[in-house]
Amino acid sequence: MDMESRKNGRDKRIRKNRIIKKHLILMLGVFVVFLTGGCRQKEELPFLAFSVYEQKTARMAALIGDVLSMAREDGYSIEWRSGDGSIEKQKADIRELIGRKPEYLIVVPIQTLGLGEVLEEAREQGIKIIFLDGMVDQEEFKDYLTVIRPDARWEGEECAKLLGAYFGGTEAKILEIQGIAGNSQAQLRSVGFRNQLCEYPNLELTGAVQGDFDRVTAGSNLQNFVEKSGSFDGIFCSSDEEGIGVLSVIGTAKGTEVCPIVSVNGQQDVKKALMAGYYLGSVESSPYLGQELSSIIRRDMAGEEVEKETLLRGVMYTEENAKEMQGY
Amino acid sequence: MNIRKEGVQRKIFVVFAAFAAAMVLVFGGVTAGYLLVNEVRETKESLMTDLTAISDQFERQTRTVYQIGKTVSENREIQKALKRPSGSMEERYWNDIFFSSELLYISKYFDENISVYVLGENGSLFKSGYLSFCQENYSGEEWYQTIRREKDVTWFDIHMGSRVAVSPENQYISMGIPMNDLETNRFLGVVLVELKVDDIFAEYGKDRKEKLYMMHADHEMVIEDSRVKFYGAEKLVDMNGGIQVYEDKKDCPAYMQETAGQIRYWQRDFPSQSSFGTMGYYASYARMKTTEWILVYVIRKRELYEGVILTAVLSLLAMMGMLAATLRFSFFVSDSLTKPIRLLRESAAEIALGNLEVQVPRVSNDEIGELSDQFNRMVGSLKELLKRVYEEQEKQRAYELMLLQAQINPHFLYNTLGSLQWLIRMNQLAAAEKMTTALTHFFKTGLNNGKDIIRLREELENVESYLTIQQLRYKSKLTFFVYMEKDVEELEVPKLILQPLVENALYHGIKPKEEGGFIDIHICKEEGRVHISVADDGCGMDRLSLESLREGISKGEVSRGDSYGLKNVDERLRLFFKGSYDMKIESSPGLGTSVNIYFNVSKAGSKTADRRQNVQNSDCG
Repeated sequence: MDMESRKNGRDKRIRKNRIIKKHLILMLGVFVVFLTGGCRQKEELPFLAFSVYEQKTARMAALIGDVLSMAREDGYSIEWRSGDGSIEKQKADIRELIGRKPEYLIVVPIQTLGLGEVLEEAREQGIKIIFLDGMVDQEEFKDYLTVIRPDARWEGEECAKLLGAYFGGTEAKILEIQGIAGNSQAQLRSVGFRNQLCEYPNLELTGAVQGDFDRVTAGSNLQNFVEKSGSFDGIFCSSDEEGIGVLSVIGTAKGTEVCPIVSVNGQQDVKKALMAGYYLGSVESSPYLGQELSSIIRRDMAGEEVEKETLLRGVMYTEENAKEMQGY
Repeated sequence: MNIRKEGVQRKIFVVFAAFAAAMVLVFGGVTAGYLLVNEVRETKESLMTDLTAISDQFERQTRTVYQIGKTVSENREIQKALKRPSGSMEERYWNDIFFSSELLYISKYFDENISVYVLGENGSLFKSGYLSFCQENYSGEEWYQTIRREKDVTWFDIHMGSRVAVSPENQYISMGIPMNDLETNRFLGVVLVELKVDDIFAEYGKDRKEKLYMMHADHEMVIEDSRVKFYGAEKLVDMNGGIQVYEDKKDCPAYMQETAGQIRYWQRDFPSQSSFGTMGYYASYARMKTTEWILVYVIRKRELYEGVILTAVLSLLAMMGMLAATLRFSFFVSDSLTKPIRLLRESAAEIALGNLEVQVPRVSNDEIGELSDQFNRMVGSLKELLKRVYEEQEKQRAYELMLLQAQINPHFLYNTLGSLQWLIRMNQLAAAEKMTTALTHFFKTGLNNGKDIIRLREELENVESYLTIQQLRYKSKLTFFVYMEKDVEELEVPKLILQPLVENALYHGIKPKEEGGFIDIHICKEEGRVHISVADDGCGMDRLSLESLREGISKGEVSRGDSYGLKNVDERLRLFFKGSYDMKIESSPGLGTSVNIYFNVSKAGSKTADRRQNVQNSDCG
């Protein structure tokens, strides 16, 4: 009896200990869940600083709007500044934004050169730099997180191909309206266009004038070119803004022979011109980069490695498919 | 009448400090007062100036907006384009491009913050700016209908983002004009002119303590950090960041509601621009002519006076600093002026105490410096003079001592030799021999190898020789007794100090007494002093003679015939012992006379050494 009662007592103690252990493990688990949950609640989303070199054009308005929408949808707080077309203003903007201690600094650079110093200041403070819709010279600054931009070289090539197809084997003089001097996208488009143009021996690059991504500047400089020398048969513009400026100068009367204009961007005014039959084509260079940006930031925050460069390609729009054009 | 003793430094310090402090306080007070008044006035003027500038700029731009709107609405080409029925899409789009280019070239001459939009009933959409339309038809919009209903212009308050274009998050005010056919008055569409106002408010509103309001008849709005908040009649609409948040009006700051109340109360009866203040705030306002909006800068008085208080505190600190510097400077000036005088005074006090080694340092090169030099020269001269006087006195003392000693010997020798002569004549050869022996011993001890200082033991031996000689002369008429304590035997004294006293006792006390007398010489130590007593039981002196003798000795006026030896001894001992020596003479007629000499034991020893040194020095010199 004694042996049996002792065995029963020992079994009871073992069961009791097991129950206590289970409860302890359960409580520990709840505590860990509570802690991790609490930590997640306390996790703060990054603060983004956003610097653009201008805000007056439709493309930049769309780009700014898209980035701000993305930031708000993802719950980030964001501050943005416009350089109003001045590199000095953009540098000052970036310095001011650095002072707000963001986690990410998103820059739409006006030029490839000139921003290195302020970007270095940002990097020294541990701010991650993302270039959007353009980049700066690698010699000047290369410690950026990533660059998200349209494939400007491809865009230039597409424009040259469209002009080549338009003129067939006919000889023609082509005028180039260049974007902002020193802007990476303008440079790459020009390189792509000129390289591709070499494939068409009948097409001669008769000249290049500055357009500064601005319709008024492009229109004025074209007028000067015409008055001084020149005849031309087709025009390549680095941006739709320049294309519209050129169109307002040369296409003043409906019914006259249309001078083929090709450009890059795909904005609303060009869509109208395409549909009206006064424009040869426009390579879409989407300003809606917010989604890519959001993805990059999310992945970087998760500790994933992000690619150094993301190149985006759009669609070539002509009169035929103009209705499908989004036309921001 | 008691005159309170005040130092020169204190007087100079008080006068200088009081004058300087008064100047500082008056100057500081006037300056601080001027600054305070000026600060408030300048702040208020600055408020009004800035408000005038912003309202003028706003006014200019709204006037421009109005003029552009009017010009475009009356433009015949645009009217013509809007009168056309909706043609083909191709034609409409071309018109849009063409007239947009026209508007762009028109707007080039205006402020770049102004954008013009023409929204035709026939679907035409013209724009002067670069931004794209956000939709293809706006006729259903409430604001469009509002413009259509009004015959003249309609002003729309600040709103976030363009009403018609895809724009970044900027703030605009806008004006709409119905575009009616100039000939038929048929409604053709609307002209909407938008003015981007961020830059204006950023320029005038950012980083300022003042709040910038824009008020309208129905509601008011505040611009904070260049962002706009609207306050409706019942609720608050926060347009900050483009997100509308409805809040209770009670959340609106009280001072702002009060300002709005004041402005609304006055409505159009108040001047176009002015300032007013109430308990808690100060406001400057300006009413714009074009829109009848009112721009108001409101600043809490507490913030308005922050600068004033800062100025006051800084002024006070500056005054306190100047005051402290003034007091320090006053002290420095008074100290530097009186320091040489103090040094002179302290030096004079040292000299008064007998210290002639004092030198006053020259601390300046002015008259006081010269005075210091003259003082030092004076002290030097005085020191030299005293030295000379001392040396003269020393020489005089030495001379007198030599003279006194010289006076004793001939006097005694004459008498003794006479007695000796008489003893030889009388053939009393043993007595003559004894006298000769005593005389020889007397002179031997008297000469003392040429030394002036002698031990008491030797002096006593000398006087015993003398008394022996005199006893031989006066036979039974003279008896004497000599006693000296052992421990004073070696003390040193000037030689021949007892002999004149004994001589006086003999000649003036014993000799006149017919039955002769007794001379008692007693030398002992009493209470640390040496006591030498030479007493006789001779005829003594009456009181008058005794007083005369005492007076004569104390004044040094004793004649040669009257106890010249006593005076001689007194002067020599006084010279030798200075202050530690006393001589007392007691006498009674018929009972005798006693002369008591007292001097300090230690004084005797040390003085002896000094004297020896002096004698050796003089010997050398």
